[in-house]
Amino acid sequence: MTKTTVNGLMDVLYVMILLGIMGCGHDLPVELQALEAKLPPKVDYNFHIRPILADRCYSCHGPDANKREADLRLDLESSAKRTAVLPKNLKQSEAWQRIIAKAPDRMMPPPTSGLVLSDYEKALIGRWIAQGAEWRRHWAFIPPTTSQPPERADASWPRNNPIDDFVHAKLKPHGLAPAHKASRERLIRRLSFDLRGLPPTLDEVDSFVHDPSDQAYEDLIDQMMHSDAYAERMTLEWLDVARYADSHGLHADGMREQWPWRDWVIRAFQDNLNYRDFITWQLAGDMLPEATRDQKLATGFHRNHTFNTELGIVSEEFRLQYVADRTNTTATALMGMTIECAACHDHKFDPISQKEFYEMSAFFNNIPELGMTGNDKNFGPMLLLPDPTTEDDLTTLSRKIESLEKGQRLRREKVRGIKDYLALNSTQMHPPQPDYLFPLDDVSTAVDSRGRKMLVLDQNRKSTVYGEYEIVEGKVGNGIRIDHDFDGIRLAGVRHFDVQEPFTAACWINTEEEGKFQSVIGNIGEKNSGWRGWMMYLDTLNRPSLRMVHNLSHNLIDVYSDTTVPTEKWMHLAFTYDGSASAEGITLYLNGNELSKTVRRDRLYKTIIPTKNRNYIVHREKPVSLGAGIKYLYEDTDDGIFVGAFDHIQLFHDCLTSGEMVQLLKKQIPNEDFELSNEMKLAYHLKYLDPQYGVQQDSLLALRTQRARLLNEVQEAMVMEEMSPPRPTHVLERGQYDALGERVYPATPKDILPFPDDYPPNRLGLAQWLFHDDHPLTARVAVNRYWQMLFGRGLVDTPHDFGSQGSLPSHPALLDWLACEFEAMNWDLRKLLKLMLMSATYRQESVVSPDVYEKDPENIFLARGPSHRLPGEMIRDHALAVSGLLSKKVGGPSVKPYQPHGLWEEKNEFSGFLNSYETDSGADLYRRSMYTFIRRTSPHPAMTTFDVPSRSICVVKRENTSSPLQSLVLLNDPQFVEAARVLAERMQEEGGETLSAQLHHGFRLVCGRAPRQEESQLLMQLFVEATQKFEHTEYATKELLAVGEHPIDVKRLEPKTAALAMVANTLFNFDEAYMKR
Amino acid sequence: MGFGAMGLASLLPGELMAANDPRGQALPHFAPKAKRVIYLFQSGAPSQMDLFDHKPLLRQMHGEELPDSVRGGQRLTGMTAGQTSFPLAGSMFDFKQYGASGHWMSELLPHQAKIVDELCFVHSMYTEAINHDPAATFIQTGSQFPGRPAIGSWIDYGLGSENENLPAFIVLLTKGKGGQPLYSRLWGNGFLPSKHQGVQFRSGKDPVLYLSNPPGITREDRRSQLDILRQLQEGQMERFGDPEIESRIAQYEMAFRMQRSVPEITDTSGEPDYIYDLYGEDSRIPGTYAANCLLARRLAEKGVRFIQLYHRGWDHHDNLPHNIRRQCKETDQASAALVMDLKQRGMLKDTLVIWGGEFGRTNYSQGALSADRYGRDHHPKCFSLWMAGGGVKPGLRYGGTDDFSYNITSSPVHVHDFQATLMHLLGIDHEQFTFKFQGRRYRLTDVHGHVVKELLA
Repeated sequence: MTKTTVNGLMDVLYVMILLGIMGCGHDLPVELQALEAKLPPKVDYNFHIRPILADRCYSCHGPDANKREADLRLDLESSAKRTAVLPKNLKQSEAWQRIIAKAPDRMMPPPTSGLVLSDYEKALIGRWIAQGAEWRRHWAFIPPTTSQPPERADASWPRNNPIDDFVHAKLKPHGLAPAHKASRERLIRRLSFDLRGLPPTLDEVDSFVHDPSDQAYEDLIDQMMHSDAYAERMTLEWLDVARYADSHGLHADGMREQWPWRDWVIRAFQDNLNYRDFITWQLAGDMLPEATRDQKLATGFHRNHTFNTELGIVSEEFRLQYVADRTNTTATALMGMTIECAACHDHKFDPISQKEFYEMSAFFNNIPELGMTGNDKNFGPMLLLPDPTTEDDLTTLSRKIESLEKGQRLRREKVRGIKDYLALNSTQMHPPQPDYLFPLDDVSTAVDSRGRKMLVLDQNRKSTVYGEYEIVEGKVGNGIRIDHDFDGIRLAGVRHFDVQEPFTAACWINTEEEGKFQSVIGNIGEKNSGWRGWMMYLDTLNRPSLRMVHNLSHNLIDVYSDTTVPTEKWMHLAFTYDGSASAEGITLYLNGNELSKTVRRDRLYKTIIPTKNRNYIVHREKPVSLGAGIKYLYEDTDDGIFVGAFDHIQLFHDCLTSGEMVQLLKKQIPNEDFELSNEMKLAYHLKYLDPQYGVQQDSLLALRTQRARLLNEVQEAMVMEEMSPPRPTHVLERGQYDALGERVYPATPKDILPFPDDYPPNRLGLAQWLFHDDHPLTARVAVNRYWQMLFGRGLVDTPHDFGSQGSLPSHPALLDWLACEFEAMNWDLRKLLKLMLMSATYRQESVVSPDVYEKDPENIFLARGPSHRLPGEMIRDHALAVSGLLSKKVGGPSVKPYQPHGLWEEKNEFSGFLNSYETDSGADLYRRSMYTFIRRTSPHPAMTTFDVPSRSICVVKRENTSSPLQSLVLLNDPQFVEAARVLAERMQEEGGETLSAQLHHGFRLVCGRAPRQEESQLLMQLFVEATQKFEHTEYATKELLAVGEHPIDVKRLEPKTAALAMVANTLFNFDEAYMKR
Repeated sequence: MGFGAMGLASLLPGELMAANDPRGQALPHFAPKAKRVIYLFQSGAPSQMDLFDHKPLLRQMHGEELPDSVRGGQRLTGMTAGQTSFPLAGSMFDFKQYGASGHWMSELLPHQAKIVDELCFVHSMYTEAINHDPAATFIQTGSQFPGRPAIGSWIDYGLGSENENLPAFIVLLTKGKGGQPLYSRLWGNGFLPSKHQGVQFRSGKDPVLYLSNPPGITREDRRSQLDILRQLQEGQMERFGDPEIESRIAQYEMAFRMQRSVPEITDTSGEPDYIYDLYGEDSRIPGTYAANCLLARRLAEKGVRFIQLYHRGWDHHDNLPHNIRRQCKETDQASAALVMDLKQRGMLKDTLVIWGGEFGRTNYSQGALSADRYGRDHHPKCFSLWMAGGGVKPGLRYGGTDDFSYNITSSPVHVHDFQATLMHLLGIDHEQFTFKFQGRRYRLTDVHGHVVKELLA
């Protein structure tokens, strides 16, 4: 790999500008000649030309093969140099002639494109061709190399580490010089917001001010970095990238519980997990050898995308959307590449083909997940997260259960050896008595309590038939035939069996359908209950199948037999289940014969008792249904409607043995001959005649019940896991889910770095690739984002786009030096941040003179310290912290602080949990804002006003706007009004005896410094005016002080507190309360 | 040019090019016909063949199966895809012809029927999405997936405000209405600067969130507080030299003005009785659709650029006859009143009013069909909407569907065409009006859309 440095070249360039070496023009139109003097002496392809070509030309002459005109690629030297661009030959260069052409049919870009080149840009291109039209790889695809920091630009400038040398080297040629050091008060405040997202305490300020040593600053950094607040602050930064939220985001936008993943992020920062592991775990923690729970949990990163829950969608369309989201997020967050355009066509600007997009997406297309989920709750894959005690208890229980199961097996073999059971004959074996029998002989009409006509089944309790039906000749008496979408039979009064309980269901069916799924019998619910319950069904090959579901598509057992049920024939279908929560415990029977069994899924560990379709409230009265279509249970468009007849349904709270199944059938069809095998006799003997086996069985039920109870309560988070065999990935033509193109396999974009042959072609390999020594982007992108966090602006100002359309680095050499340092320090984030924070550059005063402001309004060259509005969360946290309201609790479920009434209600009532915003109370009102519940379609309005993203997509750079609506929040939001009142109390309690001391204390708490005299006077004036007002309006005092839930000390219920609250409210609206300076 | 600035220009061409002026062209691109838009979004998708698209054949064939030749293997939603039968359902409602233009209108819309000569109907709208979330997001943002700016945000960004005391993009939701969800992204700024997001005006104490002073604080108190705050900020400006502080000071003044101007405009109690009579009784109840229509007119008078209403509850999968009656009662009179009120004030000519949902509904019944009860599933292949004023042809009926209201037979109008036309009426060339974000130039109409010239007056 070539390791040319862009940086060296850039430095040469500066020198050349300084020396004022100018090129001379040839063949230039008059209007361009005038610009000659303004052009850089040596035009650089990467820094001058590519951005122009990419922006104005690539859309027709770039990487996208489908949109390419005239077979010309200006992104490729070989193509361009055929005729378009001839080095040092403007006359013969077709591209040049077209650029300067005046005729609309010749001119490039064509007038119809709406794109234009400025004269300056034309002149640049002209000079570049004249100078030889040198092509180079895009700077960001050349791996960074360490370079020596530049010589000190000025020995008198404060310098602390090489960062300053790089920065100073750029200041000098721009006629800029570093600002003074920030004051100690300013510095600790800046540092505290950057590292903890909170203001420093006054004690911290005082001790820092009193110890002016460099060591004190370094110690302060270390100390802050080891606080929980640091981990929370770093987590907040990552949550935007990871699009973390507490709701699904589309349609019903119901609730999800992904906060255990967020808490893992906090732990990762508490433990200072290095960046390589931090990313590797999130992309592929589940695939690491002996993966720990945290490593698996970390993969929740790529389950944070939105889910669509709208009934009626094509599931596969949205599942592929999730795959694309993971692909795009990975590229944006970790590679600084915007690649989503390549989902529909070859990238127009960067060398990423459509095929490469889908190769990249193949890493993420192998997760067993649903496209359409239920409205609320998590959907699989999921990870159980028991607390340590529960985990121990579960381990113990499982061990006991296994040992009992083993005991039963041993007992069976022993009994088999004794051979007593062989003496059993069929007359000694009693036919089993069903707990529920539904003969399906008769339907009668009745009227329900609301006066509506209903069809009652067998005069039996509340069982009903709905839709159209037909009484037919059955197998035992009559049967009932249904054939339509809106027809069905509901069997009432059945107690539902749970995952640990034995059960048997048996029925006669006569199906007329094949090639489609058909529900036979079960209590399974709709999508908004996670499809919870059980269902015996026929698959598309008419094979008897059974599902027992806690939650699709993760927590269920699904088995089928290889035998096909014939059509137009009465067949006896049954299953037995032994309560073992495993596929092994299921037996399928057809006409009394045990069927072979194939396992589709075998992972059931929570309850299968059906719930109401919405809020997951247990629905014990839910009828068992026959032939009911359930949407999305089988496939997108196949609801599983049964066509045919049913007869004689029997249900048992018991796991019948095979012999009993025979006895059962014998009773119904006495003419048939059944043979009683020795195995049947053995099973019967064990069940009824062997006391030891029976005791074991009782103990098993008790233990399994205990285990199920424990497991039901265990929190779960959504994670990734791999499917086996892998799901094939195809190019999707035009990005459409159903337009499958060429099949592709996991790989990475070749122009960035080819995927090494010896890496596994899976997510783990992808993570290895990102951290390959020659990867040009990973380290640069990471250091750039963290630089942005501290300095407010990245060295590359488009942190999401290091491609040809992105900004060029302001300090290329510094960016690369930092990237190499980061790798050299083994991706230690604390060390990286400390390096930046220790620089003199960071520690400058942010005050700016008009002269410097004019030269560099955006502070690109860092001749002053960073200054920008704080993120919305920090503004609120600051008010909570200085008033003393802030809760220090770390992690846990998200919370709901004050929010204007009715915002959720007016938008959406589809969720079973989030239809009304129920404000929390007590300490949860005062948690750090990173814990505020994020409902994506209606996020907290005060936060939105301050540019907090709704977390629907990955965001690596927040906007930083100001607006009148922000003023209204700070002035009037009850959260801030309450904080002002509590601060007013604090001012009086801690501030000292005199009013001026109290005002002084309040100002220090909010601004972190002592007020200047004129500021004190203004606050005093405000206080006096406010006091006069409140002394004359007792109700106003009461009303203002009653805002917020936090109780007020009765002795403070007086005009003075109200007036001080006005002062505090004013301070929260003062520049230094919401600006980092 | 100072040396520093020149150095910047020569070193960072990418920076300068990233500037997001719409290709340096001043907006509007050409003389607009409409200065402002009032978009009455009927969320959930009203049934075209029960309101505007008269299909006598459906009534004749009531209960018969939808012929395969009509359906042509079209994708159905997962809700009826499993249905084995698709019985045609003719509208229960009577249609008559109205006005000089002779439009057929349903008995459900007596007030709109009276003003058909003012309305410009498009019967040949079609969309790509078949479910609510993607379809509503599509017609309101040009993309089926979250992340793009709403139409109103684009317009706000491109044309700005005509009233410095009010936001340029205002959103009104009918209070207390259930139905298909709304999402704040429908009036979100997407990748545009957040000041272009729609500002919701709500009925009740705070017409704009956080607008009211805290209890016990009067306007005079606030004034003196802000005077002190300004002096504090000015001191800060002197020390830090950051122009950001000056713009903050201005914003606090704007916020203070909004505290007066917004309640003034949302308080309709000064409207004369004949206006309430025009909009209907509901218009006296804040937060109703009718009250929001009246408020929309008041906002339009104040020069608000884009006023977006949402009325939920049009998703009639089941028992459509009952439900649609209620919906029409809530919306018919006020929708018509708004058009006529604008007209009598001479504002209709430069105010574009739009009435419509996100897709159409099926001609066959979802669920069992009975004599007085049917439901209709989603239908993306044709639906109707109307526009009025602002440069569209009054009394026009544009585009047609087959006798089943299933397929478009003439002049199809894609959602992007509708959006392109809307922009055109505002003097914007939808192909030239772009915003560069993450390396790509985005527009409302993606890479599609044609202005429907036939709709223009």
